[in-house]
Amino acid sequence: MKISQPPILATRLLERLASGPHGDAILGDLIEQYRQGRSAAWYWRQVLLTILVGLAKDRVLGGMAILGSLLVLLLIIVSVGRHPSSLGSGLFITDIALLTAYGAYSVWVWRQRGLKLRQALTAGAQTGIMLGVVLMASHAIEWFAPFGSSRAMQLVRGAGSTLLMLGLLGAAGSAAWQRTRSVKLAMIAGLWCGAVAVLILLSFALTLNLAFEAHAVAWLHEPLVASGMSDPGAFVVRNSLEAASEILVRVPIAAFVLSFGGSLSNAWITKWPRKLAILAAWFTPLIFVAGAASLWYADSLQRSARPPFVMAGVLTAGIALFSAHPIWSSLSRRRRELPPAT
Amino acid sequence: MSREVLGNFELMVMLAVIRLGNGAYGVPISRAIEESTSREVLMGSVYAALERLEEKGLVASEVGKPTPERGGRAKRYFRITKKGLRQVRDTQGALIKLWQDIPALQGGT
Repeated sequence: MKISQPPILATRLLERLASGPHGDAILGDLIEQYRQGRSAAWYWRQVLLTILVGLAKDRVLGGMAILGSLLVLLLIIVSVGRHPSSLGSGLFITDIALLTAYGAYSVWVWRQRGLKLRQALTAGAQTGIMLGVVLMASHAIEWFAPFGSSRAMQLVRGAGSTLLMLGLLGAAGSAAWQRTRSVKLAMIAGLWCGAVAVLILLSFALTLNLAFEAHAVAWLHEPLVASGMSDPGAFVVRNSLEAASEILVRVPIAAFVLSFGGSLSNAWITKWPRKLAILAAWFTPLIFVAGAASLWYADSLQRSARPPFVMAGVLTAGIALFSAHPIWSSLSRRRRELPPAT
Repeated sequence: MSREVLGNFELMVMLAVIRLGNGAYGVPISRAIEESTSREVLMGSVYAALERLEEKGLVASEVGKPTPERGGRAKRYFRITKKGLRQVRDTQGALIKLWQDIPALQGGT
């Protein structure tokens, strides 16, 4: 009898990336069910989500984040080593210090055993992985997409990824609050979400710069000319160091504030009557569209006239995205808790 | 009562392990939960819950023999521990107490 083989790539992925003591048993269980008639799509879904669940377990991800910090550090050192003339502005030392702090936070996460803290960190890790993928995709589009020069697409990509970042950092706090009922743990989860996302983005972006330096030089041609630097490679590295230090500082600050807001909005929206929550669920997309329209309109104006519309757009769309998780979780929780209709 | 409260999903996993007795491994455990909830269950979540329960000493596991229909991989059988059984009984008692005398839940299916 011929035995059907499950998708080989999915199997190999799970073999490599499954964490915990039961990786082999999980794979055996999935293969057994596949051979009993489950589809290839089911198999892929199970494999990918199992890997995600495994990665999001705080201890595993804590270890990976330590490695991530070291990887980013190594990429920075290699980049600077290739172009020593990029040194001299203090950015290298700043980045090293910031990455050391990220590494220390990852070690702290890795060592935590408390159940509630682990639940909060898992919520942060799950949203952090999603945010990391969003930021990575945004960076890849900016680098490689043929429509990179189109202003409209640049606006959609830039504003889209920023707004998603606001929403996901808020969602990290909201989800952690929902699991732990603690604002403090929600903020720790938000910071963890931001740290995971930043390490994913920087690993990706610095690897791209190293692997495709010529493309990076061409991409940064205009600012290179404006800077007056004679070594294009050194300019790319200095630009990367500057961007890295900005991200390493800004994202945790945003995470701290937004996860605090996310947890408070979840606590507040949970108390709303069901009808009000449903009404908010209907209005939230409209508020988001209004914010997006404001950003779109701002783009058509002179630079000096843009700030009020950009601020209003980010604020309005941000509020909509920020409330999405609390509203959704409030409604889905109540649906589960309602008694059956008689 | 100093014991931790079991989460919904952990309780379902433990009940499935008790129900299946000696044949409790990943596939029948996830099937039992799928049949009772009518939702697809993620194998990774089942094992994550089992891992947590094992850490708390509520279930124990042992490896079976590898079989060809599982790509040469062994099953991992789970069984409830005495501590686990006590915890399920405590949870059952607490839920029954809470369940009683709620008019909205009387007679409904």
